[in-house]
Amino acid sequence: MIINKNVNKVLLVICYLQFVICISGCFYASIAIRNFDDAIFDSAKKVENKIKDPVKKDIRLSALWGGHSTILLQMYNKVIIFDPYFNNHLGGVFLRKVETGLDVDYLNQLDLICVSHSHMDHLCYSSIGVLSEKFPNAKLVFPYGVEKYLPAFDVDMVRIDNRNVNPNKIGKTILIDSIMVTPVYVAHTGGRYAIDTYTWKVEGATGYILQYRDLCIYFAGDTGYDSTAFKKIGNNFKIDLAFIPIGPCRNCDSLGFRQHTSSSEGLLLFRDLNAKYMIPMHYGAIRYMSDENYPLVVLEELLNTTAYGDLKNKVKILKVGEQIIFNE
Amino acid sequence: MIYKLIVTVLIIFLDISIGFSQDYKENKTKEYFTWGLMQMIPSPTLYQDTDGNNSRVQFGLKWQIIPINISFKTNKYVSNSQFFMINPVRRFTGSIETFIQPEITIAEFKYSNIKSFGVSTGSRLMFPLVEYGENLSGSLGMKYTFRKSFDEVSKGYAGLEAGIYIFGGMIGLQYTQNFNSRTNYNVSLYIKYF
Repeated sequence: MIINKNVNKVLLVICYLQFVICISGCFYASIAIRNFDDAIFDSAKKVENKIKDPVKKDIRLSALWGGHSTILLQMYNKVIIFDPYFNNHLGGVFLRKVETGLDVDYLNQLDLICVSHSHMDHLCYSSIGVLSEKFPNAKLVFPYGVEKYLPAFDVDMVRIDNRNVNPNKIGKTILIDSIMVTPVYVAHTGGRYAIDTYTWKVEGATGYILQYRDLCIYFAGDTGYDSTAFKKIGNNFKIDLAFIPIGPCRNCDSLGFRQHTSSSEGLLLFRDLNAKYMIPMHYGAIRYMSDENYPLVVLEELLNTTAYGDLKNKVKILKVGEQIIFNE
Repeated sequence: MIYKLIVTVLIIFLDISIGFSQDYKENKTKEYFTWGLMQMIPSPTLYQDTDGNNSRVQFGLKWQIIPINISFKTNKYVSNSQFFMINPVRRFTGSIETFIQPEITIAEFKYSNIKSFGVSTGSRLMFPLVEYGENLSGSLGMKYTFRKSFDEVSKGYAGLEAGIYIFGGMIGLQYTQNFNSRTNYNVSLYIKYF
């Protein structure tokens, strides 16, 4: 009887702990459940006619959207990839709705691989593995804290120190392969496996400013909206092109998302930056709390309103696998 | 007592929230405390219980403690050895580790004439299979289980262990072949969160 009573208590504690784990990972769990059937029974939509010459000669600036947050950027003779993610499954269970629009076989040059943070939809081991095998002279750049989530790759790994960055302070610029790399503030979390993100709140997320010759590029990675931080970035840099996330969001025309920008917050962020052009990202690949393309639908609606109409010609919406060239 | 423990755990975990990366303040006490709670989650295990003529399986629980992990794939910013609180990435990408597994069966063995409580210790090699091991990894190891028989003739037995893991090496299936005719094998649903 005494043994049974103790066993019951032990089982009660075990059940409670499992409940706690579910709560701490509820965001991932809810998405996993929603995506699980697709992951088993469906497949990612194919991207037809992938660009066969993503790296071009005599280009001033170009950007190819690989889907989600994967951006292939060319600044004159330098080629940079942000958050490469080529797998059709995320974490083994989340199905990508559309496959990546970038075929690595067609890529013939790569100088920098920039990782914004270690979450599963931004840091993909096999994608970095493929790139590091093909381009052993490329540099893998990541913020402080991400090193814990990275195995050794056969490329030079460069950790940038973003620990002193805050909404009022820009990070220290370092020169990597003739490109000036500056970490900037993001309202976002580090970690990868739920408890490290939400309970330990570990470090490891950054935005990037890249400067090369006369060009200045901003890549936000994942971030919530912080007007102070983005106005500060806009005041410090004359940004030519900004890659800004517009999801995930449920009510994408509203404000107040803590660690992601909604469609409307993405436009506010762009306005704070005072950049020349914006390319929206972080939608279309994975179904989070709404349809994967809902952030884009809302963005297009907002651009047709008087409140945001002035931004319409500056926001360049790309299809997965589409490349845009800026020669002015 | 149990309710006090639950309330304490609840208070600790009420701190689940979004903390922005650049606001990080190291709090090792909290990290180790919550990590320690996670280690209380056992791996359900089935043990063979036989005397040669009769055979059945006995349900039990096993806890996973890893005192030392030496990784083969760490980058230049991270030490190749880590103690107790092991980042899953270093485990599933390829590593060797020692482990201690306290284990207990819910009821006494019926035929095996061995005690319900035991402690296994040994070492295992973990290797990646799919997506650098994050989606699928495997392990091979050997161990010795200290589990006395009621007649005190036997103090324990050796065994070979093989495992396969998903979800960053946190959930898996482990099979152990023991060199003991009274409990030839056991099969565990492996659970270890960090």
